[in-house]
Amino acid sequence: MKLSRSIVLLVFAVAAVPMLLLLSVTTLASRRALLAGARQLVVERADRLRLRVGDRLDGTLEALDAEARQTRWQELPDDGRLRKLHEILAQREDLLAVGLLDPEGHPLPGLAVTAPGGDPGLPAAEAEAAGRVLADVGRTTFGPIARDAAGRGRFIPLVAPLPDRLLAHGKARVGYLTAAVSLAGIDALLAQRPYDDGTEALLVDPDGTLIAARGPLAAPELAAVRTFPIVQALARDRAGLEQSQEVRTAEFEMPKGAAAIGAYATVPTAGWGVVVEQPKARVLSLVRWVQREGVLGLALGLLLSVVLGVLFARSIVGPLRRVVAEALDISRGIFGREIKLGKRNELGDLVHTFNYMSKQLQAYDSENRGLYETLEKGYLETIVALANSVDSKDSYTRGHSQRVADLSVAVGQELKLPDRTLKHLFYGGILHDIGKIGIPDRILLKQAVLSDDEMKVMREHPVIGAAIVEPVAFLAPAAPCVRHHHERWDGNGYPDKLKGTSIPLVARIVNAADTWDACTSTRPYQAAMGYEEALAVVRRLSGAQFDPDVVEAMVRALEKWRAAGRPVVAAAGGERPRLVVSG
Amino acid sequence: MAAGPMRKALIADDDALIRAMLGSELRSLGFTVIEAQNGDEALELYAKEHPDVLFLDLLMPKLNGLDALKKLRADGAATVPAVLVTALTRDTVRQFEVDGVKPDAYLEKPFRLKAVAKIVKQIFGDGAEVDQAGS
Repeated sequence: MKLSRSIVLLVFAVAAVPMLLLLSVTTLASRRALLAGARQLVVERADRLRLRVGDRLDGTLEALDAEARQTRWQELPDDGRLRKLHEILAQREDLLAVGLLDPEGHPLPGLAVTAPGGDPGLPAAEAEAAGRVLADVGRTTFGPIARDAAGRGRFIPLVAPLPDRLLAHGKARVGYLTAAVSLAGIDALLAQRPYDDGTEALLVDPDGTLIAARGPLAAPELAAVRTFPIVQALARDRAGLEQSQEVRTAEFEMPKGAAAIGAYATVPTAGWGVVVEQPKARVLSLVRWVQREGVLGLALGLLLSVVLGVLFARSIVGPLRRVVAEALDISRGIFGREIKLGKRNELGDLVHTFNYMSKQLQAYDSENRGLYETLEKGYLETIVALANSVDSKDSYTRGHSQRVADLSVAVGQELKLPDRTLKHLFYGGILHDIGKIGIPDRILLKQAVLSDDEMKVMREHPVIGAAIVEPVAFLAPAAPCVRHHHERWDGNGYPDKLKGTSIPLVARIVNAADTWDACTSTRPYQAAMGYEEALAVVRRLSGAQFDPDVVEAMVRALEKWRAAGRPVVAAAGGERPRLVVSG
Repeated sequence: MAAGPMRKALIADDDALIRAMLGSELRSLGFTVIEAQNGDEALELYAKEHPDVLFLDLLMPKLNGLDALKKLRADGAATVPAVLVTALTRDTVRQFEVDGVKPDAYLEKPFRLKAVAKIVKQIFGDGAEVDQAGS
């Protein structure tokens, strides 16, 4: 994998792992804390509600119980009894009606009072409801919730047995004091503004019928309170709860299947139950908020870490790439190029050291080149001296090799040959007659026409020359030039009778230059030709002895020399050209 | 002018700017300054001039600063204090050390001129400052 990608991934992972861990731990911990808090809250709410309802009911019950015990009902005349009933009704706002029953539980005619504006049928209904609970009454007791005669208003019947109801008296005997207790107070307790956290509180009677509710549930849902799992749990545990007066808590399903945390308990007095539930979703909404914000923060954090990772990766990979590029340059022989990096760290050190290495290599390289050039130059000087000594044997050929070499290079330049080939051409020009060193002087310097045998020996000089040059590594490329500089375009040359383009180009060039120099030099067998005359000779031989393209190029080169004022004929200057080693 | 003979500092660095900066600061501290452009020159100049302190660049041509110092130490310049001027971190410099030859102080490039004075003071004690006061 690429280094930059590895770095970015690593930075990303280093950032992501702890952030994810933190987020999940935070989520889990806050979830646990919130659920524990919610459980405590529902328990507290259920307990408070239970006690407040219980207090209210107890108050009424104790008041009526006191009236039943402390008033001497048996001794009072009927108008006194009625007055007392009015008194009791006036004292307590939560009483809708009060009345007296005989020891068998039947209403005593005329001895019932209704609160002002109350339903006139209420006392009768109340007496009837009270009568239904008398069987087991030995103490003051609430009965089940009842409705008035018209079936509209709801009330709780309360029955208080008189202590002396079983004793004989002269007057009409009174057995019980009863009252219809309003539910308004209880309703008011629950009808406060609903909880703002989705909590539902319910007050149910022992049958599981709803008495009052506080919370977001609507009437259709409340109609089915009896089927709520928590209400059923309450009914199941009722006996135990009444005994222990504790609040129990558990998780339940609310209507529509929502999970909820619930608490339930019984009210101390009337045998009612209290139920408080809060949907878990509402409890955990904070967790979801934490998660949402956390994920957002995580995304931002990761984005930042990626950005930082990319910057960091670049700061490392950038210099490395430049070092690689520099190394490539060095491998191509380009030294001393400097990478700029102002860092004081290992990367900076790498770059500094690398630059240093590059500069040192450059120094070594130029030192080596210098040594090589000196060596090559020395070598060449030796060879040139050798060629010169061959030329010098014959006063007619002085400077010949140098001139042939110069003209050959000029022709090569006209033909746009590469520098390497020009170098070989120069060597070839200088050395083309080196083989003459192996030709006996009597033949070489003979001032008359050579015999066939002598000519045969003379014609060996290209082969001898090539054999001399070939073993020398840096002169070897000039060997073909030396061997073939007497081949002819029409195939009638020597030593190999090569023809046309099978003759190496360098040899064709040296052949033309050699002839040009011979024509324009004074030789034992001819006087030096002038420029125009020599040109005519060369042109005539174009296509026969010479490659026509080479002739064209040579003519162009000579024209340029002439235009530049450079001597184009060997004999023109009269002065012996100095042998110079170049290029 | 200084009361006694002036101290002589040799700066060897291929970077002319560094030589100029370091040289002018050392002159202002009362030194005579001689300059070399590479390790070889530094050796020659040392042999001729016998400076009192050396400021050697690490990465300079021909002979790096630590190699030059190693030769000097081997050639009998056992005690002349040497300051290695380098942009490299110490860990990398350690890789250049040969036979445990270490400079007496390091001057890290890029440096503040104050650092030069501090190093001089560290090497010569308060003497250099006295020279300066007398000059």
